[in-house]
Amino acid sequence: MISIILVLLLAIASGLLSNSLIVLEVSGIILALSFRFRNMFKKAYIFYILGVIISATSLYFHEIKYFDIVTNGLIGYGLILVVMFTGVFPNKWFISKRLKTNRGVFSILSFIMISPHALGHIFKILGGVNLFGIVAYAIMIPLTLISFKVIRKEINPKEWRNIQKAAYLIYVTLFTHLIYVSAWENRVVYVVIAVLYLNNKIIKELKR
Amino acid sequence: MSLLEKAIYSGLIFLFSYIVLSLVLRMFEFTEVYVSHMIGGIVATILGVGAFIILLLYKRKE
Repeated sequence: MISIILVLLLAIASGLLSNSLIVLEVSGIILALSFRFRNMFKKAYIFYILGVIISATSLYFHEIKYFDIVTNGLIGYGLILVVMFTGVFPNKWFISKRLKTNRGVFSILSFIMISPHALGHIFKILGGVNLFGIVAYAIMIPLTLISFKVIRKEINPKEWRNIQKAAYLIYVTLFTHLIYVSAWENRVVYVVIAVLYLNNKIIKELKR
Repeated sequence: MSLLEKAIYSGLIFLFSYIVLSLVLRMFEFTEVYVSHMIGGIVATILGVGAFIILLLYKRKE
């Protein structure tokens, strides 16, 4: 498993892959990590602090090309993809059980890692603004805040679950944003991912 | 208060503060169009999300 993670990391570091494939590779790494190291995300605050440091550094040194993976929001998208597909994997699967325990951590981390991309575009450090991207980021803020355990335990569980349904709105706006701004070869991959998600989600909901 | 009511109230706060702030900034020509929307959006998001979280955490004493 560790060798798979290393190969995926090497593929990203080579810089030969397109953005959409990097997003998929990041998701693959997260999947492999949660599969191999069960208790890795137990001390989540360490990852949050690390994420904030990486995000701030990448935004400050945005001209260095090695930080493109963060400033383009690819790590954040990869994490969101894992959160998304956790919802469509069959509940019996071993990996979906592992992922579901860390879903909240991944969603908070995805918000932290996507922040340099969003803030960079809002403050025109990285270029123009896309409306769908801003909408997705704005909806992410309350959902991320209530995902923290401190706030979560204060809210009625039924209300919490209902609020989290707004995540579907994020997925729609995010994929619209991705398809709208990406190059054609990336668009194809994003459309395939979106169709796969929609198809499997509908099947899962109908089976209930 | 139901969840829908909380969402509507915070949504109204967001819209009101966004419109008022960006309009004021443009009417008195304090900023450019983009900056007025940016400031309005950021302040409105903070107010709207803050109101939503407060309404969620607020528990009426019986």
